[in-house]
Amino acid sequence: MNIRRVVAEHNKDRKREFEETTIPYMNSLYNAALRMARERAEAEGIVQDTYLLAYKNFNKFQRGTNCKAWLFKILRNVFINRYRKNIKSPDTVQYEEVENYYLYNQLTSHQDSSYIDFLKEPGRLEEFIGEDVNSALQGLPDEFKEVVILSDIEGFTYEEISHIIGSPIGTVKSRLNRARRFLQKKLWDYAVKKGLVKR
Amino acid sequence: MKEGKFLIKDLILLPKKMYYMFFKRHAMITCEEAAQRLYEYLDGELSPADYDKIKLHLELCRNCCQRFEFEEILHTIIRDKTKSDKLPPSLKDKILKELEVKE
Repeated sequence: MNIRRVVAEHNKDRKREFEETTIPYMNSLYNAALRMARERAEAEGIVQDTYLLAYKNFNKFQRGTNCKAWLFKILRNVFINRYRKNIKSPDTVQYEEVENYYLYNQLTSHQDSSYIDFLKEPGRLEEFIGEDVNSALQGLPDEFKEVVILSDIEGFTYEEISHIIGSPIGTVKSRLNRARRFLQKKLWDYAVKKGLVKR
Repeated sequence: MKEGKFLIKDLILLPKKMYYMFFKRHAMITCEEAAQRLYEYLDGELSPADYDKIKLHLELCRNCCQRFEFEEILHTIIRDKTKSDKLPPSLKDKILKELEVKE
């Protein structure tokens, strides 16, 4: 066997291993990219760049460690570089603080007592807000949106999220808390706008 | 007390102060503290000891219990409703081809 063939064989193996390890996460990566970038063409570009970068750095990936989190970390960097924008730290940006149990409080304190039924019937609550969940999520600031995507959609643990976004776990916790309360306010605002509830 | 053995009758003989310490360790948390840990609870991120504290609080506090139940339902709805879009089939082919070129 000449050396060229050995190298070719090695490359083939490496490529096969890369594909087997990373392709299963393509759908998740695409969805996260689509939610962050909003446009299909943009999302496709981000995922493409992510895979090229991941392939280039595949030797740095430690086998047996969390590949999905590794890919999401790359995706995040691609996203940030592409738009030359930093996902600002919400701790330095002023956002309206939303109280705990916002939606619950709105529903229970409302004059029309029929809203209390939402608390007893999950089906009605789902009808009430279900269709707006995606638009509400879309409307969140990037730094809130990303933690909700990572936690609620992708099911990453706080520790994994902390690794992906490069912030301490305490930050992940408080950001998720604020993001979810913010999301509840958005859901309530949608309901009001659609005339489902009266202010 | 014999080494390594712990009998109920020993427990009965414990001084009052030690009972107090036991209950203080497992003591009620406030409603505010429970609210702060709501999402850690729902995300399954609490340590067993903290989880028990929240559970105990919820068993004893009707207000918090109702709110937690509501939040749990809402949390499930949000997770169910953010279903994923389908991956465009052309994208996978495109990426695989690009990797080919990179070799």
